[in-house]
Amino acid sequence: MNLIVEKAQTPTPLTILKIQGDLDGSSYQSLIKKAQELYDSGVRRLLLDVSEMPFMSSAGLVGLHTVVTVMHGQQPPDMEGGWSVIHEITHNMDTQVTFDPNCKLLQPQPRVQKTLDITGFSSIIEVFTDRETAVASF
Amino acid sequence: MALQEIIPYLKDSEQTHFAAGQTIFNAGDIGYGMYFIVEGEVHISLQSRVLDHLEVGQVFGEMALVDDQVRSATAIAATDCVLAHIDKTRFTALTQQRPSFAAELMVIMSTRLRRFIEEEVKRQRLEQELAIGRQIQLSLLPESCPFRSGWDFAAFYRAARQVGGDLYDFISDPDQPDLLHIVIADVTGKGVPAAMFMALCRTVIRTEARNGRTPADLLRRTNQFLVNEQQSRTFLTAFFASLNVQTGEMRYAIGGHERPYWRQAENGRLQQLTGQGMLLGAFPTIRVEENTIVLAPGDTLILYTDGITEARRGPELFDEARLEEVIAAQANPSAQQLSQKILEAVDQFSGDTPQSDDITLVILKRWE
Repeated sequence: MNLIVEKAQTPTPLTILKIQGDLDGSSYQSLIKKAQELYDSGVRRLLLDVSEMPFMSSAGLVGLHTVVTVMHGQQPPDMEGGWSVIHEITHNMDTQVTFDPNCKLLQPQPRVQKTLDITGFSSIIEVFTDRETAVASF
Repeated sequence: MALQEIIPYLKDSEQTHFAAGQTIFNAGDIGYGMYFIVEGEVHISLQSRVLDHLEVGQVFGEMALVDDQVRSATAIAATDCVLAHIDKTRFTALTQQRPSFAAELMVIMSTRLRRFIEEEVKRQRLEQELAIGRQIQLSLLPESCPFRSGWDFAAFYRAARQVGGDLYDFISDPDQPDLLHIVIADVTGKGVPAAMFMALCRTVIRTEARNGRTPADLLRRTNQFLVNEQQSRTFLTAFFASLNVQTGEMRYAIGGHERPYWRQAENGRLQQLTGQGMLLGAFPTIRVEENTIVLAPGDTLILYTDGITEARRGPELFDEARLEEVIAAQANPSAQQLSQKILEAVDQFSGDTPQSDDITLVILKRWE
């Protein structure tokens, strides 16, 4: 899996992180690490371009979930434990009426969209099919 | 070894340029000497796994100087590089010119050996942990399918090498003998933590089922328990159903799990069950719909985990389309026959590609 970072030319700062390749057990931790690096460097709005991500496993879901919580300003938990931090953040995420404002998805492939729909992630993380609309939504 | 110390002694050594990606030698080749990296970087690998990354001033292939065995690993130029080849004759000359050379080489070999031993110990520990995880999972799965007059049940579970954590269960209620609860679930993560999480989920689901919770309520309560109690980042997708074996009425809820297939005998229609529902363990509150269908005589219900649809052949997935083809192709199979056909199809598709996720199938058929 490759991760490509792009700073969008928008009035408000927006970073686009492109995921190329499968997001699974072997790559989800790299994604989390990159999200944390971006947050530490000041990124607060993140558009995940998953147009070239053909597959997302259950471990990939964990990665995606953690990226969203990282963009809410919390450290990802210790890989061995520490769920209490995520619980606090997901409580905030889940009580909101609208989608998460800080992290969105662009052009998931059909299989990935299906996973997002089945697991309910598509009701928490907003999905866009075209880049202009996605960028304008932040 | 410091480069500046060795370079003067390598003036007479054969120096070869390798382009990035070029193989220097393969595992199994006869070795005639060692290499000293003058410029560039080299990967040492075995069975596509990179064991070591070497840079300027480092050596590799030194074991060929000590024994007459074939190369134990493959060396590939990671970048364009220049290597000085030191065969046994040159090595003898070097040790005469610089007596400490042999001792320095022994230190390198000893360090490498120690590191490989540590990695092997870690690998074996991980294998043991995975084996324990598999044992825990197997011990928690039902020993056999239930017996209910007029119904046919089949269940199959096969763990992957990297154990994931599938769960299936049949829960009966002594106070309501006509009711049979059916569960299929898939835990994220692997190894002992996933197996322990599976054990926890099974207990919570069984308790809530015996408390008489409806399917959607059960999944919501299970989710709440998991989110509050668990300390590891693990999720669960689950399907829970309460089946009345007398009427065929089945109330169900889907918590982010693969939608089961329902094949109707009356019209031959094959469809996936509908109903929105989020996976468990990720969010404090989840939205879960509850629906009801009636399984008529001859109808079949096929529950599965993504180990089936995400079985791989290279980059290709088995996928729902192939599963539907297999189901539709069977005339009027028993639950066990259909289970076998599906598994045969998956195994035939995957061929030599190793199974990467647990495979679980639960099939119900109503005969009368």
